[in-house]
Order: sequence, then C-alpha cells, then structure tokens
Amino acid sequence: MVSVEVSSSGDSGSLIGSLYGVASGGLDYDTPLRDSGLVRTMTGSYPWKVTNDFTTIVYITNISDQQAEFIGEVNYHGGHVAIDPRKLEPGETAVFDIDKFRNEKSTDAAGNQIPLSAGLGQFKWTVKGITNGKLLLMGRAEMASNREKISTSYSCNDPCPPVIGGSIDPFIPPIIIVNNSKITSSWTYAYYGNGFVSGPFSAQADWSTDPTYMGLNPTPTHTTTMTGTLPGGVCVSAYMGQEESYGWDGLNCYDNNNAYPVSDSGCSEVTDVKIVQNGSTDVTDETQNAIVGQQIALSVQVEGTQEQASSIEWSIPGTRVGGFTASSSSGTVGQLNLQNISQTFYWVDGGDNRQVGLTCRVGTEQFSKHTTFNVKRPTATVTTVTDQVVANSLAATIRFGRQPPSGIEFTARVTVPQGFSGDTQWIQLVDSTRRRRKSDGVWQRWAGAGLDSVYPYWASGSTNDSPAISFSPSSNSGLTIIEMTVADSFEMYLMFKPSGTNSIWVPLRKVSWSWSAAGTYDGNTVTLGSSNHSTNPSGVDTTDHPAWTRNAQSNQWVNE
Amino acid sequence: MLKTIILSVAAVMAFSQAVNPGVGLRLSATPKRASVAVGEPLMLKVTTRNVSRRSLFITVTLAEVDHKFEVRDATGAAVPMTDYGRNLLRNAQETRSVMVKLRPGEEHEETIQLEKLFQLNKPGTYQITVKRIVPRTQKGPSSNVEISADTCTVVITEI
Repeated sequence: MVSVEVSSSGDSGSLIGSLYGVASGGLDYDTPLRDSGLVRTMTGSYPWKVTNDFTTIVYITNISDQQAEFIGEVNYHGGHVAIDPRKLEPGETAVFDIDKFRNEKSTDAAGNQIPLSAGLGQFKWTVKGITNGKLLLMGRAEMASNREKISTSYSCNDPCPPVIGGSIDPFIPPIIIVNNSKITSSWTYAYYGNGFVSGPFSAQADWSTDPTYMGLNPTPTHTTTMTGTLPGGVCVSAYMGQEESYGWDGLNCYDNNNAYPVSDSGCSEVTDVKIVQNGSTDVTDETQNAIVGQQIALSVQVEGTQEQASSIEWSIPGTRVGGFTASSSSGTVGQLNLQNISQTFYWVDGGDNRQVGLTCRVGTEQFSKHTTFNVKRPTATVTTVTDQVVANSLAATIRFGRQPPSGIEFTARVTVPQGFSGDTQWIQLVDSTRRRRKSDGVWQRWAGAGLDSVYPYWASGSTNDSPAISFSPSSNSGLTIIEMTVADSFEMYLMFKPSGTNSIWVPLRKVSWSWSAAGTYDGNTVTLGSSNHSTNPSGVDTTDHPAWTRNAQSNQWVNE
Repeated sequence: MLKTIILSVAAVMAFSQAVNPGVGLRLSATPKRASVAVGEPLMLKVTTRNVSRRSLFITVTLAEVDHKFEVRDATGAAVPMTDYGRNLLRNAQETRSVMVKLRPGEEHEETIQLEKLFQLNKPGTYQITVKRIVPRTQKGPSSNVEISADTCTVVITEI
C-alpha cells in the first residue's frame, strides 16, 4: 500500500493526470486524485458494502509533515461503532477493512460491534486536534467486487469538520462516601453542522478536583477513580485537550486559526455518616466502657451534605430500655424506636464488645456504621432470713415476724465495677388478698396487685418487711373484726443506679416471697389458725424492671 | 373580671420538736415552706430522732398512717380530712412494715403531702400537730406510747 502525492508547479489547470491500480487478479482500480487544498478534505463520509464478495477498504492518510489525529465511526442500520482517536505519523495511512472489522467483532469503548448481519453502511471520519492551520489528512474508500467486476472509489467529504465536545460519563454521583470510590470516564462527541452527532469517543483527560476533598487516581487517563477523602462539596473536572476551530460561511469551510478547550465537569458531595454520643462526640468505630443504667444517647450525624439520613435502622444488642419512670402510682419502662434518628437508651444487662450498628441512606448511598461498648454490671447477691408468723393479742395482730426480728430481712451485697459508682434501692411489688369477717358475719375483701405502699420501698443497702393484719384498725372505731385471712405474694427488687446525670434505676436481683395466715379474735385473744411463709428465699438475677400501674394501698375493703 | 387577691402574709413558722421523756425519741415537724398558695403542695417534713444513748427501733409503714395529724385553723377548729385521707386511713393495710434501727443521734425523715389528707383549700393560718406511736420499751410492740412534735404553723395564701 502506498500513497501518491502529485505536486504541480504550473498554473491551475495546466496538468491533467489519473492513477490506476492494477490488481494481480485482473481488476483495475481507478484511484482519483484529489485536491488537498480544502479543509473539508480532512473529513470523510463513505458508503461501505460487504455483502456477497464485496469488500470495502477505507484509507486515511496523514499527508502532512506533522502528527495528525482523527476519529470516526462505522454506521450501520440500527447502530454504530465508534473509532476512538487515532494518531498518524507523517505519511502514515490508517486502513479499515470493513469486512474484517465486522467479522473480527471489533468493539468500541462502549461495547458496540457491527452485527454479522449488517452488510451495508457508512464510514464517517474527521480530523481531530490542533492542525496549526495545515491540511493534515485525506481519505477515501474503495469498494470492489471481483465477481461482479466492480471497483468504485469514494472520497465524499462533510462540509466542515465537526465541533468536539467533552463529556463525563457516568455522571459524577451526587453523593460519594468518604473512603469509598466511584469510577467515571471522559468522552468526546463530534457535533456536525447538519445536526449529526458522532460518538462517544474514548478520551484521555487531565482530572482535577476543587476543593481537594476527593482523590483521583490515576491521572491523566480515560477512566478515573474518585475516592472521597473529606466531607464537603467538591467538583471534578476533566480536561480533554484543545480542538481546532473551523467556520462555515455557507459555501466553504475555513480554519479559524484558533483553538477551543474540550472539557466537562460535575459536582458531588463527599459524605460521611457518624455516630455521635451526647450530641457532639464522634464514637464511630470507637470502643468505650459503660455501665448498666447509664444513659447512652446516640444520634446520626451526616457530614458533607445537606441531605438528611433516611431509612434509619439501629441495632442495639443486649437487654436495654428507653427509660424507667417510677412513682408511687406507676412504674413504666420506656420502649425504643430503632428507626429514630436519635437513640437514648440504658443497658440493663452487662456484656463486652457490644456493637451498636447503624444503617441508613443518604441520597442514593447506603451507610453502615457501628460503635462498640463494653457494658459493665455490678455483681450483687441478696440473701434473706425469715422469721415466723405470730399472733399478738395485745396488739390484736397477726404478723409475719416477731419484730424483732422482722418477718424477712433482705441483705444486699453489691460490687460495683472498677471505675464506676452508684446507689442501690429497693422496690417491692405485692399481690395481696386479705379477708375479714365482721361480728355481723359479713366477709369483706381487700385485694389487688401493685406497688407495695411507697416508691422506693427503701433507699439503702438492706431492708426488711413484717407485714401484718390487724383486728382493730384504728380508723374504724367501732368495727369489730372476728376473723381474718391473708395471702400476700411479694417481689422485692434490688435496683442500681450509676452516678452521673440522667442515669436510671435498673434491676439487679429479685426475691419472690410470700406469707399467709388465718386467725380469729374474740376481743381479748388473737388465735392463729393456719399460716405459711417463704423460708429464706434466694435472690435471683433479673433484667426485668418492676412494673406497676397502681399502688396496692389503693385497694379498698369491700363486702364479698 | 376575675379578681385576684394577693394576701401578703408574713411567714409564720414555728419549728416544732418535742422530746418525749422515757422513750428516747424526739419527733419534729417542719413545713418545707412556711407559706404556700391554695392548691400548692404543702409538704411537711417529719423527723424521728434518737436522742437516747442506745439504739432504738421504729416501724415504718406508710408515713400518712404512721403519724397522727391534728390540723386546726385560726379559730381552733379541726380541719376535716379529704376523701383521699379518710379512704387511706380506712383502707390502708400493713403490707410494708420496715423495722428501722436508729443509732444514737440518728434520725428517720419522711415527707407528707398534707393538703392531700386535709381540706387545706382556704387561705389562713393553720396549726399542725404531729404524733406518732412508738414502742416504749423497745422490746416489742406490746407497750406503745404516743410521742408528739411541737405544733407548727403554716400560712396558706390565695393564689
């Protein structure tokens, strides 16, 4: 393959010539000589045909003394395959055998191929880059059929080289996660004066960011990796070089002898999500010690964007509550809504290496964060010593406990983990049924469950109880009680509250105990009938808060 | 037009405490505020102190039941109890009965919300006397004695 350049020093029209190619198979090729003086000769739009034994070969030759570059595309019905920018050294010719191009399934950067079923189409190319006002390229297509003894040559031009525009694709995502990466590429398109758009063509770009909240690696290249480094808004630019500017006056195409830059840019927000404690302390990926009952106030903090977190889901292992509110009339445990942006909770049980997880969505991005707690819990024991049920005629009572000693003595031993401190208290719930028979034979009942009398039951390390029934209630002067029964069941809770603001009481141990008795009173003597009581009941570990909605002292005596 | 009358009443509060010979316990009653407006909580702090030289026991059930209250208005008339107060005294049961050991000099303090027990819904000056039954011998409940705190004064003003 050769290129022939014929130079004439004579006047215009003083030289006439023609060029023929003679193939060994006997087919001659008429090779037209083209005037290289026109800008539009640096473009080409040729038909191609590869059906039957037709072949189409396209030649693009650098006719200058400098490096030249072109782009092109092979069009067919239903699609096209882009020919990425290609440089030609002075005198070099690019050859495209369309039959071979199709059969070898040549693929462009977008993955396009000419389907094997395609037999006709168009080959389109244009000069690219800076020409310095010179004419650099010429081209033609040669279509031939040995069987049909046909040889044709095409050197059709577009009126003028197109305008080259740059593009970043995929678009810079609106959100890029800190320390995460996204990939994008630089592309060019050729915009012809008749509205035809050719491309995209793979382009090399110099990538830059402003500000430098994002890492780009490598650069320059066609495809870059964007890695978020610091939260904040950031714009990414791809500079794809300069292009020669051409003008069309309606008749001819001219080189404007200047250049324009080709670039594109897009902006993003490098975003991070943090788990913050107490509204300000970043505890993401941190590990800290905590103690049961301590308030843990976590919330989601989005950085680098005004977008709000959505689809929030917390995971908080262990036994935990949203609070504990107690009074003499009610004791309730607060529940958690793990979809809330903020979580204020209290652990009730202990355990190391508890990972509190957070998943949420910011814009299109999914975040997953965690923070770790080593939750400490006091070790505690509660031992009891019980007495006996006794009748006291002078006091007109039947009591559990001779008082002294008490009916049941509760002794707590609590060891608070090193580095923490706190207080203990007792809460007792009671389910009581008491009956009495008046002198007129009418039975009355006093029954119901709830808090035992006061909250808290007692506010120090040890306590006791000596419940009783009385045949001579002072407030019921004149009321004569001749018989009584009692069946009380109790749950005594040892509670702990760590030092520090906003801590709550959490249970450590629970003792279930009961007593029952029946007796009569004749006005002078109380006679104890049957009786029963727990004997030195043991405390058991519990993480269930005591709960009540009423005070047992709101029970009233009612006739049965 | 709603006429709001503000009564400017000098706070009158007599700190109230009395020693009961032979028992070793001293009872005192002090309103937490010498003057409260109608409807405001009237919190009365009642303290039982061991003034003897040995440890003594008291039994704590419900503060409202453990103590007796005499509340009189400026004319000396007894202030009636509220329905809540009457119900409480009529129905309270000893499910909680804590024996409290008071070492010499130690005291046990409780707070009673008095306006829940008595109809203190009129402005005026009130005299309050608090009493408590305690064991005399400290050997058991078979021999009880009533100890009394000095009378204290509280002023209730209009809103």
